[in-house]
Amino acid sequence: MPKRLIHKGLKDLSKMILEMSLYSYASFEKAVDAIRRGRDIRGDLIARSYQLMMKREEINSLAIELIARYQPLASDLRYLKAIMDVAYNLLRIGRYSADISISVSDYLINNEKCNSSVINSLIEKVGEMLQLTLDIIEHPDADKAEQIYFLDEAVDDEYRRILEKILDINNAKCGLALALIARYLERLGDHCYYIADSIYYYLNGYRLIKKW
Amino acid sequence: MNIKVKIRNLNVWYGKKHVLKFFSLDIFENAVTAIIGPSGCGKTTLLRVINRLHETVPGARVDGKVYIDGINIYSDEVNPVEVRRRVGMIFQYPIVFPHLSIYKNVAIGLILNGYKDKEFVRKRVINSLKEVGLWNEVKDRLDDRATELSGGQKQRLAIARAIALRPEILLMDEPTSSLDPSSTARIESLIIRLKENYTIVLVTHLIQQAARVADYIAFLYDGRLIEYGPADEILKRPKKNLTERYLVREL
Repeated sequence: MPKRLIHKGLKDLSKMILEMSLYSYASFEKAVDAIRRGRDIRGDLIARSYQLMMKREEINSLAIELIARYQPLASDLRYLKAIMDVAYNLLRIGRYSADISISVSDYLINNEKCNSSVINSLIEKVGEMLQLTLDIIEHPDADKAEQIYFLDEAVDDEYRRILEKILDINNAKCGLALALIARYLERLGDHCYYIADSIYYYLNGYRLIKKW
Repeated sequence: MNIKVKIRNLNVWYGKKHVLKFFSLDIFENAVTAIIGPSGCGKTTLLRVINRLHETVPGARVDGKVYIDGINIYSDEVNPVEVRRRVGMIFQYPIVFPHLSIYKNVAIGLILNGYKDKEFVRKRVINSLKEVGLWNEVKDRLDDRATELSGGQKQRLAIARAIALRPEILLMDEPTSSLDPSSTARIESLIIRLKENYTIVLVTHLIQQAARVADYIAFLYDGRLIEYGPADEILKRPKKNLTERYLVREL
């Protein structure tokens, strides 16, 4: 069967979104490293955030060009819509990673009395969500997308639990930094859920939220 | 929504060739139903069966039932000429009578159907030309030959002629395939306006045209109805693999 005209475009988009997802995940890893080691890397993460904006722009441009040229329907159209949504959410993940590094630089570095271990459990849960999200971007899977939905609920619960603990911290600067970072991590988790929702929509034609 | 046309267990043969197979479909009133599918799948045959025009083809045979407003149009009591008055048809190539004026091209259907009151005919012709958006373009030259019109104007003229008889159903067989993009856009806008007063069945090989104008879409393949439903559902979330493959251009 001859390849469809749109095939090359879709293949290029798959490569681009995978590359963007890896780049976004690397921003998250750097932000976590900054928390753990108290490093000032905001310059690097802000620059990466702009790179993610460029990547998103390239993906959107190609997707819109494919829509204009080939007027796709059915799963092709859903894929293009989904991929534009995914690109936006990967951009936001990169942005929140940059925000985390800014909070670290402004409030955690040289604040020796501040112990960031209170948010470790949240970091781990969000990391797990992100890993699974990367997986379904590369290998779209409806069941795994649903798992991410439940992981997001767990992240939200953990976030609320950690906020309660942060309230007991006497050091205002430390409490503020940890509350902000926890908030950014929770939002990061939300964007993983939005990506899962988009992948689910691409595969099934309706949103995850409608299932429940 | 009311069902205007019910097709039940329809089989059509041209000689030995089984063109439509065990076909059942409901067509809703005052809606645009688009019939899509690859070449040779039976789309045009389906249209012709709805107004019994296939009977003009030697060797054509029908088995099954087609109800319009609950009456089986293939029953012995039903006159096929009366069916064709209630069910107008627009063809791929605009049909104008070259020896007749613009006015007479619209009036001819009324005259041949026994409308003798000249004032009544005149009013009906004007209203039909207005309804298809042609009146302002031709009102000062109604006596000109219809052949002087552009392709898009001719097709609108053909539609005006069809609706002058006030049919209940309009069958359109690829009405824009011989037209330029601008004329196509005008006809598509007209189709959307016309559905307020008519039930429209549109055969098109342009999936995007179906996307633009249709309320419902029926996908045919090899003489069978594969999938049918609201246009939005069919185009975004087809349930059948064949439909999906056709929409993504794998068939």
